Amino acid sequence: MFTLALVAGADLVLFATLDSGLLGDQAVMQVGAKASATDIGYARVRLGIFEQFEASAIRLQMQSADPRQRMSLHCENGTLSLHAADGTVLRKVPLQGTVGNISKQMVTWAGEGWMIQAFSTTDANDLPASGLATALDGLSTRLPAGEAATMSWAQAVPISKRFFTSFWSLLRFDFGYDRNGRLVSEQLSQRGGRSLLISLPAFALTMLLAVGLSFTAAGRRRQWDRRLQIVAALVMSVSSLAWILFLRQWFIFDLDWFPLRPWSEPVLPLLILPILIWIYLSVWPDYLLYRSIVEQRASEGWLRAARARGISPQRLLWRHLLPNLAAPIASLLAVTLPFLVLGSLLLERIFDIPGLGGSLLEAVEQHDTNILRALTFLFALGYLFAQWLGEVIASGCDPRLRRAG
Amino acid sequence: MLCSLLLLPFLFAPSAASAQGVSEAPQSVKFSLSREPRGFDPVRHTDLIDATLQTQILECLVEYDYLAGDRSVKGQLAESWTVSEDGLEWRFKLRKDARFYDPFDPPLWSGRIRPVTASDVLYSWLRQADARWASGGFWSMDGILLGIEEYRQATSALDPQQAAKAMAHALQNGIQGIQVVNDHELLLKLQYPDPSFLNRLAMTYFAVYPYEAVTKDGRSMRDQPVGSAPFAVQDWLPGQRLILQRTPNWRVETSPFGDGALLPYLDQVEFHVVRDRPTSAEIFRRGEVARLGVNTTGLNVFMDNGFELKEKYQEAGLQLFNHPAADLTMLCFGMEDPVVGNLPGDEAGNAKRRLLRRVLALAFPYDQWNEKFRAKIFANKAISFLPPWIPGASNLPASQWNHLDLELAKQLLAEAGYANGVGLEEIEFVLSGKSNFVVSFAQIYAHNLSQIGVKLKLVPVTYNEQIERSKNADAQIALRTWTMDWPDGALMMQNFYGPQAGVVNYSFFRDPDFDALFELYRQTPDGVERNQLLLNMLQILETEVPAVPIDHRRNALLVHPWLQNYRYHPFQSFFCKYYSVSEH
Repeated sequence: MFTLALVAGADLVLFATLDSGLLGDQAVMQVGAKASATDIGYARVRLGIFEQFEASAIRLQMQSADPRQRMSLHCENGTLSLHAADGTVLRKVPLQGTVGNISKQMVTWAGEGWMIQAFSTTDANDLPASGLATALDGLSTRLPAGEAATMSWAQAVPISKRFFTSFWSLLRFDFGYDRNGRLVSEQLSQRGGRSLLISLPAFALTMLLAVGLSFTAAGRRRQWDRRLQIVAALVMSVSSLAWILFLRQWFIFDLDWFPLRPWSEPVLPLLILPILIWIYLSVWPDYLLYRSIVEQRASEGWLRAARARGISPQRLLWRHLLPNLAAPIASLLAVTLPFLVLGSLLLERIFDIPGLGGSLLEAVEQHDTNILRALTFLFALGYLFAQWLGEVIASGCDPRLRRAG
Repeated sequence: MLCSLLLLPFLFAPSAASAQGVSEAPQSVKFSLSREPRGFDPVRHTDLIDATLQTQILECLVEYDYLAGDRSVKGQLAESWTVSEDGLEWRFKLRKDARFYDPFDPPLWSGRIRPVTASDVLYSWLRQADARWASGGFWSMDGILLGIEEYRQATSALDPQQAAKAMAHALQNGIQGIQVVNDHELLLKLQYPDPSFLNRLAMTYFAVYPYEAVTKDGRSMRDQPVGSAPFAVQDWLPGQRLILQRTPNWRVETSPFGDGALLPYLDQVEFHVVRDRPTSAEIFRRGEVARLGVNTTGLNVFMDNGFELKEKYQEAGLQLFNHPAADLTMLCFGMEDPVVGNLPGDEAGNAKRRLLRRVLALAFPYDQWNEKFRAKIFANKAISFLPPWIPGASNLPASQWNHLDLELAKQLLAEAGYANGVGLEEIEFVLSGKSNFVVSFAQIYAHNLSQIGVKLKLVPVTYNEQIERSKNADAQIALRTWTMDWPDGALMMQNFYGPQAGVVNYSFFRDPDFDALFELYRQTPDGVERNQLLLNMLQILETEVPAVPIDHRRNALLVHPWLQNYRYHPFQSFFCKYYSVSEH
C-alpha cells in the first residue's frame, strides 16, 4: 500500500508538472510549431486529453470590404469573443446551448464593412457548445478576410479520470507510444540493457575497490590513509565532465588505446574506457564514505577490548569488523542501485552510447511525455525495491536489526 | 603510435578488401549523421535528415541529375514524359522494369518483389494529400494538382466511413489532376503551368511505395520502408543506425561515369548517428566514415588560416567542398504595423515609414553577423533575394539597403521627420532563441540604432512564439531563414505574395502590382521574360523594403579521396547509388 502511494505520488507530481503547461503544451510540442489547430487536436486525442474531437464543428468566414482586415475568435471563461486585429472585443456570446445555436448567433455578427458567415456541420449541430471552448483552449481561430476557417469541438477527459486511467496503464506496465509512435516499453528495455552493460560492472568494481581501499588504509599505517585522502581530494576537485573529456582525448584520440567507432557490434571494446572512467571518478567519494564508517566502528569499545586480548589487527579487521560493516554498506548500496539503470548521463552522451541516460535527456528535450512518465514510474519503483532489498540484506547481516524490526 | 599502427588493419579491413575491385568482396561505406532520423514514411517524416535517407530507399518519378550538379532532373521511375502546349497536362510513361523489393520477414509478396505500377503512384500521392494522415507534405501538391483540395476536403469528413469511401473512390477513379491511364501511364493535370513542376516531383513527398507496406497488419513505412531504389533496409536501430544493403537483382542501370559498371557500386551503406562533435571529427580523420559536415569543431581540427586545409590533410588528398546553400536569411519588417508598416490610404505616412524601414535596414550589423554568427566562412553575403542555384540569381542588381551605413540612416531618419529619433516610439525586435549569443548580437544592433537616436527593444522568445507572432503580424522586426525546397524563384518570392500573408508571407506585404507580377512569374518558363518579371518584383521590394536580404549559408564538407564519384549537389546530400570506394 505504502509502495503504491509513493509511486502514485511520484507520478502525480510529474503528471501535474506536464499538465500545468510549464514545460509547454504537450500536444503542441509533439506535433511541432507549424501544426494546425486540427493536428494539435488530434495529438490531444492521442495523448488521452480529448475523448472526442470534431475538427470542423463550425465552418466560418469573415467577409470584409478591406482585404487586410483580420479578426480572431477566442474562448475564455465560457464566453466566445470576436477580436479585432488590435485586440478590441467586437462581439461576445456565452457558450451555452448547442453548437448549432452558437453558429446561428454568429451569423448575426456584422459591422461596418464586414460580416461573419458561419454554419455548423450536421454532425456537430446538437453537441453542447461548451465543447468549443475545450477545443480552442488557449488557442485562437484566425479569421483573415475572405479565408475559410473552422472551429473545432472536443470533449475533454476530466483531469482526475485522465490521471487514474494513465496511472492504471502504468501499473500494468503499459507505457504507450513515444512521440514517433514506437512502443515505449521496447525502447526502454533496449536502452536500459545498454546502460546496464556499463553501469553494473562499473558499479560492482567501484564498490569492491572502495571497500578494499578503505580496509587496506585502515589496516596499515596512518600515512597510507593520508595519501589516499589527498588523491581523492585531487580527483574530486576537478569536475567530472573535465575528467571525462580529458581522459577521452588522451586515451582515445591521442594514444589510441581504445577503439573509436559509432555504436555497433562488438560493443564490449567500446565500453571498456567508459567503465574505467566511471570507476576512476566514483571510487574516491565511495572510499571516503567507507573509510569514515570503518573509522567510526574501529573506535568502538568492543574492538578495543578485542585488540587488548591480543587478536592480530589483520584478523580483527577482516573477521570481526567486516561483517559488522556489511549492514550499513548494503543499505547505502541499495539506495544507489536504481540510478545505475540511468547509467551516467555524461558518459553516455560523450561516448555516444544509446542508453537510458541519453533517452531521458532526449525525452526532456523533445517533450516526450510518455517516456518521461514511464521513466519516473520505473525509478520510483526501483528505488522502493532497492530500499527494501537493502533492509533485507542489512538485517540478514546484523541480527540486532532483525530483533529491533 | 605503435598502437594506432596495430589498429589500422582492423579499422580499414572491410574497405581494404573491397579495394580489389573486381573480386567478390563486399564494398561498404559508412557515413555519420549529426541528427537523429525519425523514420521513413514520406507522409510523416519530412525533416531534411529523414528525406535524405528516404531517397536512398524510395524512388520518385524523376530525380536530380547527379552529374549535372544543378537543378536539372532526369527520369527515375518515369521512362519518358510529354507536356501539353499550355503546360497544364503532363503524361508520364513509367519504366516497366521497376520493382518494389521487400527485405522484411514475413515478406509482402512471395519472391519479395512486385512491379511498380501507376496505381502505386496514385496511392502514394493520395495518401500524402489525405487529411487523416496529417501529412507534412500536402503543401507541395496544394494549389497545383487539379482536384487535390477537394480530395483533402472529402477525406477530412467527420464520419470515418465517409472519409474511407472518398479514398476508395479516388483510388478507383483517380482525381481530376491524377489519372491512371494504364499500368504504366499516368496523366497529371495542373491548375497553372509550373515551370519547376519536375523539381517538385523529385521531392520525397512524391515518393512511390506499395500500399501493402502501409495497410498490411504489423507493417508500417515508418520502420519497414519498401521501395524500388537500389538499396533496402538491412538493419535499422531507431535513433542510432541504419544499414542499407544492395537490392538483390536490381534493374539494369549503367553508371554515368563511363566505366561500364552497373549501379549501384556499393553492397552496403551504413549511416550512424554521432551526436558528439569531436567524436565525429575524429572518426572522419581516421577514415572510419567517408564524409564530414564541417562545423566549428571540424574547422579547428582540419583547417588553418581561416579556411585552408592543413598541409597534412591536403597531402592525404582530403577533398573540401564549400558551396552556398539555396537559402536566404533576411531581416523582415511587419508591414501591417502602424509604426514600421504600410497603412492603406495613408500615402504621406507610408512614405515616412518606408524611409524608417530603410533606416532600420541600414543599421543592422551585417559584418558582425557574418563574423560572429557565421564564423566568416559559413555564409555568403546576399546580393539580392534569390539564393544561388536559382536561374537568374547571379545577375540581379544589388540591394542598396543591406549594408551598415549609419550616416545615411541618420539622414533618412531626419527626412522621415524623426530627426535624432525625436517623436519615434520604441521599436520591438522579436528574437527567436533566448541564448546569450543571440541576445548579445541583437544588442549590437540596438547599440547601432541608439547612436542615431532610435530605441530598439529586444524581445527574446522561443521559436514557436516567434512563428506565432509573425503569423499574427505581431512582430515589427524579426529575423527569418527561408530554405528553398526546390530551385524555383517563386518559392522565395511567395514570401511577399499578398494571398500568402500569414501563411508564408510573414511580412504581411501586400502590393497589387507585386501580386500580379508574381502570378505571371510563377507560371512563366525560365528565360528573358521571366527574368524581367523578377526584376520588376525586386524593384518593388527595393522601394518598399518589406525585408532586406542578409546572407546565404554555406555547406562545407570534407570527403576522403577513397570515396569515389563524390560530387556536391545543392539539393540533395547523398547519392549512394553512384558512390564507390577505392583502396585506402
